[in-house]
Amino acid sequence: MKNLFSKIILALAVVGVLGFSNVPSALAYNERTIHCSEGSFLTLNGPGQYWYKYTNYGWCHNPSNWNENGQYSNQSPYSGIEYSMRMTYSGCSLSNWAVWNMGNEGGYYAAYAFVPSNHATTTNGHYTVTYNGGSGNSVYVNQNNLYDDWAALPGGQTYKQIMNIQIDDVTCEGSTRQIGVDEAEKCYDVADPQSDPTGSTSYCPGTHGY
Amino acid sequence: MLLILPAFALVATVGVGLSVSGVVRAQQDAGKERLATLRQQHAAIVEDAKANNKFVEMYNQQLYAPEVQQKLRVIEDEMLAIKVEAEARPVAERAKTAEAINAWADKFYYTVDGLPRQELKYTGKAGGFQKMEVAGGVEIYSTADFEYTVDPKNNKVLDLITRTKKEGEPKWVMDMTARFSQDQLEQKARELVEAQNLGVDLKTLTLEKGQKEGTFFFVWRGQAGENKQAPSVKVGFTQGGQLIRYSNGFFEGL
Repeated sequence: MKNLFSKIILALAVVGVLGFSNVPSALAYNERTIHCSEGSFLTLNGPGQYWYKYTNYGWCHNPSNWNENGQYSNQSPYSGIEYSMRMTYSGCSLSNWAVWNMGNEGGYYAAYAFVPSNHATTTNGHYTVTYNGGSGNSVYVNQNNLYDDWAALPGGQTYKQIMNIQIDDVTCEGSTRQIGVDEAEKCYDVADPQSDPTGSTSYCPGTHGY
Repeated sequence: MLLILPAFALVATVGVGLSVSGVVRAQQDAGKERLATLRQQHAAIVEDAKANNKFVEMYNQQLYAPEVQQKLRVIEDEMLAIKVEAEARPVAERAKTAEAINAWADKFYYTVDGLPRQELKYTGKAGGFQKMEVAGGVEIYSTADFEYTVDPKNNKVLDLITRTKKEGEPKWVMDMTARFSQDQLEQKARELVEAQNLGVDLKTLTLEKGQKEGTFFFVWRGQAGENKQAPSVKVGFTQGGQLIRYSNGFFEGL
């Protein structure tokens, strides 16, 4: 009786070991960096008179938000930046565009852009993520449906070395729609999907890969 | 006999488990092989573009020519699909979650006449939504226009947000009929939140009302803690009464 009970316990232990053998051995901590609109990461291009600045909007320096990794941006400390956002109006040919310099660091990242609660009403916000030494993937974000929300952009395990994120004014929906420009963020996924196929993309927030 | 039968049952269970595990492993191995092939193809296209200077200038940057980018994108999409499926729960389990989402959508999203019913698809896993992490992670399911973030432990909808769209996809279907006032939409938002049984009293929170072009938002916020996002619940509607945003920042573990 005792011998049979021991065997059952042993069998259960074997089942347990087999069952857990597919669980990832390590869950890497995600390095997230938020690139603030008033930091040195953001470049505004095109005629300056079409860029507008509004204070008390956006993610960085908003007292309701908490920072990550102790900072909002590795070059724009929380205490040194302004609580503000930028805006330009919609057009149908390229005039104004903004570029977040995302660092071109090795590894694979998920990417996001923050859409403020005001001055962001385009239904066709045109973002392009450039990566992998020269690839670019464009997507559209309905800013009019977002309110202090992070929009998921192309990123993840097929997006090696994110170089920049661009947003431009080519939305073709009339000249009164506002294109809100605020923070961008990248969330570290994995150094090399071949050596670590699980990676940690699934531990970054939101959808990845468009 | 009483002892032998459970032993047989255990052996059978282990056997089936190992068999399923074997099938999964075989699929994973096939996926790895395909991924390796795709990576080689991807690298070869990049090398060819560099060797033959297949670049264009865009946003003051040198980017691969559009045809090169298109070829790379096709490969990248397949790599992503393999990864998403490899990490997913079994189809039968996801079907139950999808059923729960559809039931939620019937109750809270498909409440406006004329909204087209959109098919729900599994999109992948994530660590949470917005700036909130969920213990054990979440799953994301998408329709043509929206994404639902769900806690697979209890199939509870945590977040509904307008989907980011790829180049070439149809625009979002929005009911912008001037049908409801802001006050009426606030009442609808309160009813929606109360129906979620979040265990919070909205009267103890600060209400922020916002408006864009034909869209209205209602955010109830608590106090931010140290290294914690302020708990909040957010609801957004079009002026036609179409639900366009729901975010439950009061989930367990916040």
